[in-house]
Amino acid sequence: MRDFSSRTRRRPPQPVDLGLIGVGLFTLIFAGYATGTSWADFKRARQHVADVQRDTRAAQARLKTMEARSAPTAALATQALLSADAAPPRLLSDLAALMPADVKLDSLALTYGDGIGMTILVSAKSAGAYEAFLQRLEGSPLFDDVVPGEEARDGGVTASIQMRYRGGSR
Amino acid sequence: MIARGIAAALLAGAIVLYSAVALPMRRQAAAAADDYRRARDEARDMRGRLARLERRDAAHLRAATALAGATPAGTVQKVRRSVVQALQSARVSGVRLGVTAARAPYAARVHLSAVGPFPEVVALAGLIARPETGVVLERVRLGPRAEGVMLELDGVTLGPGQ
Repeated sequence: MRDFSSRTRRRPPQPVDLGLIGVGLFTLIFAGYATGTSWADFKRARQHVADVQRDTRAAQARLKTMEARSAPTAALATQALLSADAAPPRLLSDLAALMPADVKLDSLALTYGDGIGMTILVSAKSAGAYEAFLQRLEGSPLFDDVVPGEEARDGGVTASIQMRYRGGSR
Repeated sequence: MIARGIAAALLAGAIVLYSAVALPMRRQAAAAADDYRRARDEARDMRGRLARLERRDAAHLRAATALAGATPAGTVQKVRRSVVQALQSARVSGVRLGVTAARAPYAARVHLSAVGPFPEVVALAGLIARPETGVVLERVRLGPRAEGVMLELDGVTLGPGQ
């Protein structure tokens, strides 16, 4: 039977409408996924922070205990450590590695205490070789407080240098 | 029309969800990751300091117990023996050795001088500084001599309980 009434009839959804719903649905799913992964990342990072902070607190407590226990003998203990860890052979090997071929070590004085103080006397065949040695010393992480002392220039260079060795405390 | 309304609502919901929840959450996650990196670096630094203290205390303990239980005279004899033992394997000459009892916190003082080829005197200084000898270095000097290099070494041994 034919319907001759003027009532508006519901149109079946057009493909373009279905496409728009699909896009909206996809966008919502994407937003939900992004929210979920961000939340998971946040929770994971917070958990890691908590774990690391717990370890740090434990290490800090241990550090305090050790520092308090060894405070009166700290200087002696450091000297004992440096004496064993940075004995002359190791220290000289580190120093020799920085010396250009034209620079010769004439004498050396080491003082062990809270750190290792060094005074060396070197002779270089040329001023350039001496400068290169000084630059290497100053750039080396194994030596610091490098202070050039008196130098005699007579063709070559003879000079004293004071510094501190840091190799044993690394 | 209804379908388009539903699509618009879905899109609006997605935008609100993403901008109001996902983006702030992502920023918080990035901040938490920064916190983690900082905390991790701090923990690494702490572990390094702890390891250094542990090595220091271990070296101290080794030095203090190397001669544990010895009397002052016994300590001097023991230190002298260990230095003489080191000297036996070194090709050096002109040796002067003095080991004397010392006041707390030390047990003994060692003074040694010897002349020899550079590698020999350096190796000798290394042998004497070995933890087993109980000698803790105070001063070491190397200087030229006609016959080679002269080593002058001053050291101490730590008393028990120090």
